[in-house]
Parts: sequence; structure tokens; C-alpha cells
Amino acid sequence: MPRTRPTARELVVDAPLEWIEERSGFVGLIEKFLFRNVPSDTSWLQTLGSSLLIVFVLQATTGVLLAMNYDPSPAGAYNSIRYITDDATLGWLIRGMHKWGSSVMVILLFLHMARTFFFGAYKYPRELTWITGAILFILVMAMSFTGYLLVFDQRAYWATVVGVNINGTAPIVGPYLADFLKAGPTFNGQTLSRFYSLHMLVLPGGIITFIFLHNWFVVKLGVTSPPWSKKRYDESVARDSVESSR
Amino acid sequence: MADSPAEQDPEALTPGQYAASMADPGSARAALDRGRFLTGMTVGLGGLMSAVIAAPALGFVLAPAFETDKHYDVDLGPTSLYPVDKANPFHVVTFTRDPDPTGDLDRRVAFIRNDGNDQFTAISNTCMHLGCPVRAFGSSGFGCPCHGGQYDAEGRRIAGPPVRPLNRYATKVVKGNLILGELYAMDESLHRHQLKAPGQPVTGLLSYLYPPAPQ
Repeated sequence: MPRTRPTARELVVDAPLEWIEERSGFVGLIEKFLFRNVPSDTSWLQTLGSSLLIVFVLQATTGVLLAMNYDPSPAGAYNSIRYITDDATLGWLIRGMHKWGSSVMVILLFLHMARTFFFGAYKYPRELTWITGAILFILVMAMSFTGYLLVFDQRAYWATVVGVNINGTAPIVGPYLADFLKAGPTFNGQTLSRFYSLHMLVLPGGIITFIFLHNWFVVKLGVTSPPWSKKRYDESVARDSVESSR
Repeated sequence: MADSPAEQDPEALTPGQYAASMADPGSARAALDRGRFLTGMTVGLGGLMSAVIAAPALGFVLAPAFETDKHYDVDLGPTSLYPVDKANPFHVVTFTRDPDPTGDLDRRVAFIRNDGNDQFTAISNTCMHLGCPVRAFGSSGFGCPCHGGQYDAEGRRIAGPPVRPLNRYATKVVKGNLILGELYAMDESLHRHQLKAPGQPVTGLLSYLYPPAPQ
């Protein structure tokens, strides 16, 4: 029997993927993530989480682009923002995406959290998904707070003064927390650098870590049916499926 | 007698038996002890090395949280610039608190009132709710635009959310010039207290929740 010639698809797509899969197992990993079973009656409401992931990727990308033209110094910050908005090619678009994207992210986050709460999707065995989600919520709030200062106009400055002083009213740790954020007893030149570092290095690192954990739990435990589901929820079956996935 | 000494509790062996079981480096017990020793060394030395790196890094990041505000005397010029005025007692003065300022961040505003006989009152414009700048309303007092805090002409709270009166600067007159000194906090009876951030009480039970910066 003569050997058939490999098709173009086999040569260009399948063979390289097989080569990678044999050495890394990545293809199987991604297939497990993307082609997993979900209840047949999942709804559009259950796309809020992946929307958040997409918006985060957009924020990260536009943020990296903005950082290429941003000057995190008290004397230069506002002018560099003005340059990005008014002079740089399509800078208004990149900055606009980052600015409005931040609001979209907070709105989606609240909707996603409300969906999880009203579906009861935080209950056994998904407590850790909820807890890592709550930590992500705090991290996103911290992102909003630290990003607000970077524009360094009057509104950014005074909003941050007020925000830092609100942190300062926490009992015992408040004064230290406020001085940590200000990088000293008063608002000074290092405050902006510190907020910039938190905004573009520390907090994104935390968010990426917790997105990974959050998704790990989602994939491992599966997706809940909506509360209006006609399918009877059999807890023993669910427990068995959790047991067998271990 | 057990078949393998490694399965036995060491306490069950006499010291002589224990030493004999360890004498052969290829024995199961020696391998077990070696594994435990290497695990311990990896965790212990790894932890120690991490701590050696983490301690100075933490110090670097957290040190600013324990600093005290430096103060610089500011010369506001001859006292004749600040005459006694009953209708508009407060002269608004802008100055930089640091002789080597970083941009506009060291710009400060104080309200100067001439009390006669070379005595001056210098009230800071930082609202004691959350730190917005207040403005003066003639001889009637001060108001904050952010959340509506109101103060009388001595800087004491009369309405709104501020937790204590406005801060003041120490004043002195040197060779006919008005000098602003240290910034300090005030209580309701206009006694001086160590400086704290806005929103933090300096008197009463709640003041103990907000430790002041070390002096």
C-alpha cells in the first residue's frame, strides 16, 4: 500500500503541534482548559468572568504601551500624559482604552460577583474560587486607586490625598499604611514613583497569580447550573465527580 | 527482632545497636537519615538565605512608614506685610516648606493673622477631615469644598466631618521678619499636640488608635 502524501494541514498545523505536545504536554493542557464540559443550561451571565479576563489582558497591553511614553516624575508626569493624549499617534485611543477599560473592569467585576452570589455558585466545593475572587476584587480596587494618581492633575492629586488619608483612619495600622503609601510623612516626589511601581509591577503580578489560581479552581470544579435549571441537582453525583477528579 | 532496623523505633534499640545500624552508609536507616538531613538543610538554609534577602528589602520598603516630618523655618518677610485687619483678619500666604522643593509638592498655604504686639497666629489650610485645602471666609472662619467641613476663626470645627481643629504653625518674629516654625496639631481648647495626619483625633479615647510618628 503506497504511503499517502501528508496534507497541508497535517504538515503545517498537526505536525508542529504534535512536536510541541510530545515535549511539553501544553496542547493537552490547553485542550483540557478550552474543551471542558459545562452544564448544557449555562447562560450568557456565565460569560462575565471570561469578559473580565479579556478586559484585564486589554488593560495590561494598553498599560505596557502607555508606560513606553509615561514619565513617573512630579515635574514630568502631567506633561507626558498630555503628550500621549494630544501628540502621540493614536495615543488618545490607547489612553482612552486604558481609562475606560478600568471602569469597564470594575463594572464587570461587580456583575460577575453578583452573578456568582445570586447563583449560589460560591457554595461547596467552590469556596476557594470565591475567596481567590474576593482577593482579585481587592487587587482591582487597589489598581484603580493607584492608577488614579498617575495622571497627576489637580483631581488626581487631591483625590489621592483624600484616599491616602482615608487609609490613615484605619485603627492602629492606618497611620503606618498611609505613610507607606506616601513613602514618607508627607506627599512627596517618591509618592508618585511608589504608586507607579505598585500599579504596574506589584499589583499586576498579584492579579496574574490569582487569575491563575481562580481559573485553576474553575477548571477543576466545573461550572454551576443556573438556579432555574430543570436538571435536578444530585449532590452525591457532584461529590463523586469531585472525588474522581482528584 | 524486626527484619529491617529502619522499621524500628530508634528508642527501642540500645545505643550499641543504633550505632551498628548506622555504621554502614548504604543501610536503609542511614539513607533515611541522609534524606531527612538534606531536606532539613534545603528548607533551613533556603529559609535563612531568603530571610537575609527579604529583611533589608522589607526595611527599604517600610522605612518611610516610620519617618517623622522634617520641618524648616520659613521667612515670610517683614511683619508690616501682615497688618491688623478686623474685617479680613487672615492674610493668605503661599510658601515652600522645603528650601530644596520637589516641584509644586512642597507648596503650602497658611492663613496669617496679626494679633497685635508682634503676636501672630498661623493656621494651616489642610482640612482635618481628609486633607483637602480649606479657604477663609473673612472674619467668620474657614470652609472646605470637598465634604463641607466648617471651622470658626480660631480653626475649631463648627460643622461637618472634621475630627479636630485646623493645624497651626509656630510663629516668631526675628529682626522684624515673621518666621513660620513647626507645624503642630490642636485640640478643641486650643492646646498644642504632636502632629498627626488628617482624620486622626489627638484627644479622647480614639486618639490611642492612631499612634503618632516616632519623634
